[in-house]
Formats: sequence, C-alpha cells, structure tokens
Amino acid sequence: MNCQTFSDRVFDFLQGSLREGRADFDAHRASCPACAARLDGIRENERILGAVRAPSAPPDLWPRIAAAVAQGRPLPFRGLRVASFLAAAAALLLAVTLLATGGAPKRPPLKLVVQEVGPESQRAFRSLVPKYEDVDAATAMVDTMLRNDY
Amino acid sequence: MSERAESGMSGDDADLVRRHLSGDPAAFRLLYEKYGDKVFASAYRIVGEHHAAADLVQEVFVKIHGELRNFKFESKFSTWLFRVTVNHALNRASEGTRHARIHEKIVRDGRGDPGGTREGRPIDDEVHRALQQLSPKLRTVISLRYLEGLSYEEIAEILELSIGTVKSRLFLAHETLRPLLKNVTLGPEP
Repeated sequence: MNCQTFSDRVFDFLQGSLREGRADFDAHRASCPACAARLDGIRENERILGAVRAPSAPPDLWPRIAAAVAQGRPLPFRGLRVASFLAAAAALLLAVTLLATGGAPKRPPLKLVVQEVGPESQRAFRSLVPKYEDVDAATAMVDTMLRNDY
Repeated sequence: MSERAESGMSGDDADLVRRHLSGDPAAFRLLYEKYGDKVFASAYRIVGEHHAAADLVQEVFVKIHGELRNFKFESKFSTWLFRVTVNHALNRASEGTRHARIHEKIVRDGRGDPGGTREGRPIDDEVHRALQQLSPKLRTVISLRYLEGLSYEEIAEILELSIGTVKSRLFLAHETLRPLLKNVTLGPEP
C-alpha cells in the first residue's frame, strides 16, 4: 500500500468498514509516520467538529417564509437591509457634516444620530465610523457598501 | 443518524409532501419545523453569516414550496432539500467576494458577524472561523459529514458526486483544517 491508497481508505478505516486490505492499511500506518500523523490529525479534527453546536434558525424566520409563500416570492430582506443602511448612511453623513462644519451645539451628536437607526446598522457603523474622518471618506465608504449590496 | 431513524423520517416526509400537495396548509410548516434548523445550519456554514443564511433559507423554502409539485419521490425529500440548499448556498458563496471582504474587515476589527454571534461558545466560533478559510466546496463536505451527520453515500447523492470524490474532498478538507484547528482544545476523550 502507498500513501495515496492509504488516503483513499482512511475514511473506511475510521468508520470501521475497512475489512479487505485492513492488514496492508495497518502495515502502512506503522511504517509511514506522515500517514500516521494524517490519521491522527483527522481523528482530532473529527473530535473537535463533533463537539460543535449547530446554530438554530432565527425564530422569526418561519413567519417571514409564510408571508413570502403567501406573496409567491421571497421577501426582500436584503433590500430592507440596504434601506436600513441608506437610513444609517443619511444619519452618518449628517453627523459627519455637523462635526466637520462645527454644527450648532444643540444638534444631536454622532452617537445619538446613529442610535436612531436599527441595531444591525449600529453595529456595523460603530466599527467603521471611527475610521472615516471627513465627509468625502464617509461618502466613499457608504457608496462602496451600497454598491456591494451590504 | 441511524438507518432505521432515517427510513422512518423518509416515510414521514413523503406523507408530509403528499399532504402539502393535496392542499393541507399545515404540512409545509411541519416540513419547515423538521428541517428549518438543519437547512439554516448548512447554509450558515457555507455562506458564513447569519443574515445571508436566513435570506437563503427563506429563498430555499419559497422555491421548494413552488417546486414540490415536481418532486418525483425517487429520492428522499431530505436529500432533495439539501441539494437545493447546497446549490443555492454555493452560488451565493461564489457571488459574494467583495461583500466577504467587507465582512472580513469587520470580523478582523473584532466586531464579529454583523448579524450577531449567536453560537456563543468559543469552540463554535473558532471552528466557524476555521471553516470559513476553506473553499466553499470543502466546507460543504465537512458541514454535511460532521455537522449534519450524513453518510458518504448521502453526501454523494446531494452533491451529485462519486463517493470517491466525496472522500477525496474530505481528505483535502481535513488536511487544510488541521493547522487551523491546532489551537482548539477540548477536554480529554471520555
């Protein structure tokens, strides 16, 4: 048995279904440290992957599916997100403009303006806003996000 | 999943599909309740992000709602459903290169999934990050095998590949994953 044959049969070995050629498999494992290490690596990967918890579907997904089925088409979640980002973009540009022009002191500060948009937009913008210091840079960032349907 | 359980599930599924086709509005919801989480988990593993996965699951269920009338009962409903999901997810994964770059930037900034990390445990997040470094095709076989618990034969049928190709992809996926998972620690084996 060579290394290629070993790799072809390794999953049969791991699930206990390798009968024909089992002695050759064991002999190759004993004589080839690289293949023995690969086998150990796969076992360790399997152990880790077996411990992973699967994520659950969001609880509001079925109502959305039912509504979409009733309309005969998927509801535009993505479009809603873009609309949310448009709202956030407008808020961001307003805030950045106020900051850049030394706006009236009674205008809401950036933090307050961003809080007026949805939590998803808030999370994204909180990580991105500090990187953009002027209106042009912020506009370019928002434009990039919208062009990419983010 | 045991053969016996799968066989029973398959019979139930065929009955639910027939009930749906005969106009029973509860049947489609029961199919969703049975498979919604599994489909979401597969979609999430492949596309890598909660909102995109939710979009995708919605699209898949709307699509199959319309196409169940063409279901031939020649394969199991679950196989057909996973095939539709995986094909859809792989197409989506290949479309999103620039989107993925922005997402990666946010992740690297320490903000995590913009849709929110809902798994919570460090090991889930570490494995998810490692899987996202595989190609979509490699993480698909890993997801179907270890996270959905499907057999090589079922994976081959879903992906319309030979069993040998499935095993080759799994081998390559493990080789790629090993260094990415080397710092993930579990307790001792029982």
